[in-house]
Amino acid sequence: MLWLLLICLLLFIYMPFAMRSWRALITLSFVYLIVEIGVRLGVANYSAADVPRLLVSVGNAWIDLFVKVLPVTVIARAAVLMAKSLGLMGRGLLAANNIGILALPGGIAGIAAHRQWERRAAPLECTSRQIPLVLSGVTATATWSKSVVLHVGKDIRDSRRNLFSPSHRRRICRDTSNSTESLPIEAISLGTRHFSQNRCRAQDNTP
Amino acid sequence: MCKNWNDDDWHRKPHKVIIFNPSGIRLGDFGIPRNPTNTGFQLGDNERLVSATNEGGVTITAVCHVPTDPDRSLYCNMRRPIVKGISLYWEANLPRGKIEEYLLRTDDFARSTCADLFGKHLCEVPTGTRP
Repeated sequence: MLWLLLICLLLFIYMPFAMRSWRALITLSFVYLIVEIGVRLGVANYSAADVPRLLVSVGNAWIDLFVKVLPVTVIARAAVLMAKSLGLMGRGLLAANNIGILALPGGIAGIAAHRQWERRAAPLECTSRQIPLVLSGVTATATWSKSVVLHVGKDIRDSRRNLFSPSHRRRICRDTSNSTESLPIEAISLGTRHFSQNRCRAQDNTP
Repeated sequence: MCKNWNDDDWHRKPHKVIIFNPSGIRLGDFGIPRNPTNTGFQLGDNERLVSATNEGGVTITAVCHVPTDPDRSLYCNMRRPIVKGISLYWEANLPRGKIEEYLLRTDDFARSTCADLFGKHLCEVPTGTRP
């Protein structure tokens, strides 16, 4: 059952590749647009309780998945058709078609790899030391606690360095030569929410 | 053991502690008052000054917003200079009835946090008003 659902899903996502001409692709894109408008109007005008469950599931699938992936397959198919219009034939066209089909999984893999790269940890030789700081000429040291936010300038957005953010941690390491040089700061903020890790939940309070 | 809002040591902790250079940041971005919270502080509507003196005879003063609901705790914030060019700020909800006691507890916690960063010499002795 799950396999069948998956195959139907893939067939729907890759439907643009079944369109053999510009006219067919434009017609399909127009149908997508109509469905998109219909779903958005439905969401705006009805609550989920008023609509059959199947329709709610279709609407959710459209908003959560299809709106994000269909543009990729439509654009990829348009690129293949353009290559065909420019005279690409035979193996070249087959290769272009394959590249177009692989654009979606390739794009998803690329985004995942980029996110992984963005989240890479700061060097251990840096985070194993405390962060040397200097505030108004006074030296201090901070631990790599998630509750700490450093501010290195006046602008609260650009100047903040959140110690829970891997990219900010790496930036601090770069700016302090792996925690060997002091980082000039204008403020250090400590949110005590992180201090109380054992905050009671609803189930803890039952008699 | 988990901690509840009503538990005693929950109220010992401020929500936020900021140690800052007053001329190095835009205070409004952090919700920090423009002036230190002392007797000269310009109070707004539903605000009052709360002071408490510790065993060492040092007075800590905070500005507290008094909610209309008598069951709700007071939202208080405190700003004072600790050395030239560096000030300490904290904000916390302090329970009615024991507000002075909790004011001192909260300030103790904020100062211990400050001392962890800058060392005891800078933060351990509060720069308050001696009576």
